[in-house]
Amino acid sequence: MQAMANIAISLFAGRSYCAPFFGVCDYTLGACQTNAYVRVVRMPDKKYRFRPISFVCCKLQNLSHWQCKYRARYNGIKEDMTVNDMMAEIRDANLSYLMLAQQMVRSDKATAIFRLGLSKDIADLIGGMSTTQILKLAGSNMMLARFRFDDSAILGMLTKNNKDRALAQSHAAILMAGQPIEEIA
Amino acid sequence: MAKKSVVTEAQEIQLAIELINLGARLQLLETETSLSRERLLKLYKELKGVSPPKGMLPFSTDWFITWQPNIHSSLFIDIHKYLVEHAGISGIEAIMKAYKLYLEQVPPVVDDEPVLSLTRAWTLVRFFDSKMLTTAPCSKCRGHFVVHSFDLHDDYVCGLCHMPSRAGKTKKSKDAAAASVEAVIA
Repeated sequence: MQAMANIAISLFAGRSYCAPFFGVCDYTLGACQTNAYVRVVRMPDKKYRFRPISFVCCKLQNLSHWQCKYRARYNGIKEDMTVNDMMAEIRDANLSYLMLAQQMVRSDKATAIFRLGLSKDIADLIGGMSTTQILKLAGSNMMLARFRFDDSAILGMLTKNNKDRALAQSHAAILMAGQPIEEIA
Repeated sequence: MAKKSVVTEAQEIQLAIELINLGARLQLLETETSLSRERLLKLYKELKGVSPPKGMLPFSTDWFITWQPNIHSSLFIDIHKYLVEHAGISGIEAIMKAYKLYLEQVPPVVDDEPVLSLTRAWTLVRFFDSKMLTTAPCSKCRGHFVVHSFDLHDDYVCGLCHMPSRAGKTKKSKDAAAASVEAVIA
């Protein structure tokens, strides 16, 4: 009760435009199972906004409002923002991948074919693409590049810690270089 | 005799320069370029500042089977095979590119020569062409490793899946480890 009174006092001392009002901050619900509070504030444009009271969060569980929010995100709470963010990241990765691949193919095709693990036809295609084409291709929400190790047993063996790092790297390179054609073509 | 082309000669000199910088020996240069021995000698001295090493090239296939060289040569030959099959290059160009990629893959040790020299790599490719050596898939990791052509390798297990107990524990590596410990203590 004492804490609530303190909050109310500090709110009045703050710069809210009308009388504050306590509600439940929905970001924190899924994240930490503890309610935090928001206040409703009337902004100069006469619209009502929810403002988090971060110190309540802090007092209750030693977290800031924003920490709660990000926890909620990473705990798998369905939030449209996250999915959109992920899509944007994928498009970004696609674009950087395509641009890098094109640069590599144009400077030295044979080396690029090995480094990227492509077939020659695909390398020719990527090398000949225009910027518009690259942008169009990168704009898809699906990842364009794929993982080079398909075999979980091999990947597990390579990531085990019982080997020298340099040795594990050469082993991985030997395996990748020796991949059968049908896997990469 | 065909007329000598200046452009071809320039290209060959360029190739020879690259090969010498990668550590090629004179025998390799003589085989892969049509430049005269005298010119190659002069080129070598100009680039390296010393006359080229004399004597025969290493000719044993057994070297490629021992533990550490086997890993390195397998890596090189896999890259080489990949380039020949998928990138459509061949001959000395494939060897050179594969060797450069191999050097990228094995972390370079400061002031130390790579385990597999360019001349050895070139010899390895010739051993493969003459079918003295071949690759066998490891039964555990399915990577391809250099083996003798006429050995039995139905249940071949590579040196990385089944490490020999003393593998990699050379005097040099022990000294290096001791030096790093001393550096931490100091």
